[in-house]
Amino acid sequence: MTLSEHEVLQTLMQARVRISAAAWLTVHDTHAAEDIFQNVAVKALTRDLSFDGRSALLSWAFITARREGIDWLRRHRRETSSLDPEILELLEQEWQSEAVQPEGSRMDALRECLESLPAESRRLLRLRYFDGHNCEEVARSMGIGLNAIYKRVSRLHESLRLCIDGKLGRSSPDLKPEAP
Amino acid sequence: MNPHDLNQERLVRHADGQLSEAEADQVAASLRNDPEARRFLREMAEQAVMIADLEREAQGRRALLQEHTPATPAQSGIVGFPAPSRRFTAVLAVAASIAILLSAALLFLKFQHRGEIATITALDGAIQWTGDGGQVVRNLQVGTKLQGGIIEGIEPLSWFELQFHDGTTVAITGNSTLTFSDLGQKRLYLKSGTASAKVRPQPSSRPLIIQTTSAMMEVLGTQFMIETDTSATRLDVSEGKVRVKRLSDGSELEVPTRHRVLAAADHEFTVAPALAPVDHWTSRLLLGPERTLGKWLPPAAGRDAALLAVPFTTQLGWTIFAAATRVSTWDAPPVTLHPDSRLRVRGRLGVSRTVYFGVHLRDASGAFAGRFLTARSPHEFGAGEVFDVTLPIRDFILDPSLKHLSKKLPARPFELTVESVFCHTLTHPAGLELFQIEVIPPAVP
Repeated sequence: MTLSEHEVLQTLMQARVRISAAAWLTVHDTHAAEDIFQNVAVKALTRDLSFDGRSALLSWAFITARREGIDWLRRHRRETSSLDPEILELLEQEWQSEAVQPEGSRMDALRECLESLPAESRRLLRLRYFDGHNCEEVARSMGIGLNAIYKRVSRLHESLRLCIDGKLGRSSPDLKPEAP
Repeated sequence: MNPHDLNQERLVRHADGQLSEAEADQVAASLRNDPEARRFLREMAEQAVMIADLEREAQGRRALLQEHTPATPAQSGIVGFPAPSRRFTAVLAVAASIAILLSAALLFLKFQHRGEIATITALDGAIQWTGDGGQVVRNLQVGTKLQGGIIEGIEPLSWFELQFHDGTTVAITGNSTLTFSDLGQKRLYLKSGTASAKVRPQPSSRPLIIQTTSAMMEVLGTQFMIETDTSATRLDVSEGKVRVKRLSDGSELEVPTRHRVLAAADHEFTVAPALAPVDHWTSRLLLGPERTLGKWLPPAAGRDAALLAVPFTTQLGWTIFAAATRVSTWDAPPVTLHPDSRLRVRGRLGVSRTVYFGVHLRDASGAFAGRFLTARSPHEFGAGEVFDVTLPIRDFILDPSLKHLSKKLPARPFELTVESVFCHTLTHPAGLELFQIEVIPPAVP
């Protein structure tokens, strides 16, 4: 059955983080990823489109986000290490097939997990994902070697995943201590 | 290092664009074959997006703290991700209900993470705000703090101005619809109508963005006015510079101080100097009802084309019988009033009533500059007879309903641009018809 406008927006909002994350995999810029999600939502609502069910909508949304991401890179003359379309499709399929956690509770869990991190780790994540610095710039700004930054970022993501899962009742809530 | 950690680190380096070709191949192979690697990459991408969301929210909250309280060591020591207020959590919880606001979805999608981002600094007439998950508020007042949302002027003479925390002001006039948000970057969506803005310097990486159905504009700090409908956007820059992108073909150009542009698919997209103001103007009701308020009557035997006053109900519940016409439109020079200018109105009344004549004004930046009016008593108008009055602009006073804004608005209607001229008989259905309106310049000595 064709989705109503209300259902289209509701579905997109529930998948907002995933669609934005899929766009981020192409552009590696969180602000651009958010803009891309908005463009996807606007296209879904303002173009003469109809969707036979939520999976058709999500499939279209992920593809559109990827195309918007490629357009964004072209417009901003940015070069990023892009993944094969085949891998991106695999990731998008997994995103579509996984159950969606309510965004509010996931965000609250992440906030709490971040609060339990040392200030320096929070600063690292902010520099990287909000200020948009690359890891070399982050390393310089924090006076740490580049390889150490890669290690830290990788461990922080894994620790945060465990912590969020724990808070959402999926596994142990303890935050894995960050390695020096 | 175990292979699992090594793989994750490689994915972080991939996102940083720092892999050699051989390593990139290894990452690709790992992502094809290893669900754990894909899970980590998806998780990293989601966390990146959410961390940016949370930091935007934190910055919005810090801006509020700085505005409302003196800095204390505890407050100034906050480094991102503060705990949410209850209200914030409540706002997060209502995200789904924003679906009722489909017509302005563009920016609304962001509001769920925000606190108050702007304050109402002036308003007049009926204005409606929709925000906070679909809540509709009509009893707005100067000083009310707003989250992002949709502001609609629901009367022809409505006027509304809001100020963001950095001092940037945005105003709409008449039946305009504006969606606004500020998530570390100010975004406006003017669905229809007229808006003006005075934009304080914005970070170069996060200019103020204004979108309409036909154009996208980036602003770093400037004053300008925009008018838009479904197919065209008209921009006048009075100070600074605005980058405009025409959405129909993606072409872009910069509009400097005292220049203008029309962005429409069927019009040449070029920057032109602003039109020099004039001090005379004559209505052309014969051409049709475009840009008028009232019932347009085509010319008939023994009568010119006319504009008949129609009733509209104000926010206070009064029904006023009025007719109005736009004067300074984008496609014609702005019409300026001088101390010796006069307004001449030719029309007819069905029954003798007091008639109010007024001008709606704006300043050079396009901002609302007040409504000024004068009145003529019933014995100047015979029932059913054509009247022809010439009114010195010196006699016009600030509309008493704007008295509360008298400190903010100019005291006299001089050297300002006439947005529109209106006539009404207050709440009396007197059959007011207008045949012609003129702004007459000061007499040449």
